[in-house]
Amino acid sequence: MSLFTIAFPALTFILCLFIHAALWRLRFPPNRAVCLLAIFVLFPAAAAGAWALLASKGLLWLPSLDKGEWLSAALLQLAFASAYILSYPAFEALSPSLVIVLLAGDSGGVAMKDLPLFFNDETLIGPRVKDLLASRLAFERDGVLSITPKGRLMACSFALMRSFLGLTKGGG
Amino acid sequence: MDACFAAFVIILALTPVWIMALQACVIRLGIVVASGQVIAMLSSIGAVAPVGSALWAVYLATLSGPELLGASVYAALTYSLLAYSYFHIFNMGETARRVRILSELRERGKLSEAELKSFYNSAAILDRRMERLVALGQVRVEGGRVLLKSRRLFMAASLMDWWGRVLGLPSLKGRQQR
Repeated sequence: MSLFTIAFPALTFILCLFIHAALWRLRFPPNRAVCLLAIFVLFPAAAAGAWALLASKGLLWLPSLDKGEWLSAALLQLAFASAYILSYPAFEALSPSLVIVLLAGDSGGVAMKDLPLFFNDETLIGPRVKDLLASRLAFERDGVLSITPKGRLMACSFALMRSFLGLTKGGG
Repeated sequence: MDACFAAFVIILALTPVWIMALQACVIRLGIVVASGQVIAMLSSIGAVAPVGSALWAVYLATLSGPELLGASVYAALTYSLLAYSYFHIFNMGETARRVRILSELRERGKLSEAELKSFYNSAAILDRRMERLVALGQVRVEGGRVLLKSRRLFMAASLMDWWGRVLGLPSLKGRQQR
């Protein structure tokens, strides 16, 4: 296994991070999930494909790798991408656990009675309901929320996973 | 691509499946009684030995010198990233508000925002978070104040806060004012 198998995905991931940060600062995208998939999965796949195509025509140097090494580089790239994409909601959403830990880390911590001042229904639940509506996992009619087939599939997947693990209903 | 290398890549790609299987055994057999997140972390660590042995048996044992080192580093890196990804998926099912709301919608069919807030509100969310953070040993409550007990999650939160600001997002502590 050549060094390229580790270096190519790692360097591509760093490049993707730069592209992601630049895009976010230039224009905050409305559909972040799709945008992140495009940056961290589609872009590296397209870049690798273009590289292979140019190399096959002798227009670009390409390290001599067999199919297996390309496959393992792709797996590592996907592993980097999934780790980052799954971490992303914590950067954007108000995560009560992270905020509590940051407040506790301040000199003298934070008073228990002051914690509710940092969180309320409007900031904790409202944005999550909006996210569900925006990603078409739920829809609203006359002020009543209902689940969409896509939302049902997602809810069932989590329920199935938790049932396999022997756990009861989770979330929040 | 030889069969040994293919088996090596497939075993690694299935890392989340091995961890989930081990976690299911640990929970169902009651081997460790702890929070879901702690068991998920322990399972990720516990699966290193069987997965590592399988990787050694099918491919790594055939290598030596720099090749062995390179493949071992590759395997360790890929395993860590996939284990981390699995932990996030498990954690979404455990703590994500969106998943909780979707589960309620799936069970109840329809919900008005008022109904939702009647059983799922910020006070309930806060209580559950405090319980988990204390159980995970990240904070302690002393004299009515929440104090840091471990710096592990605090460091992760600080790193996330910093990266969020690089992306142009408001700081985590200021997020509740949005």
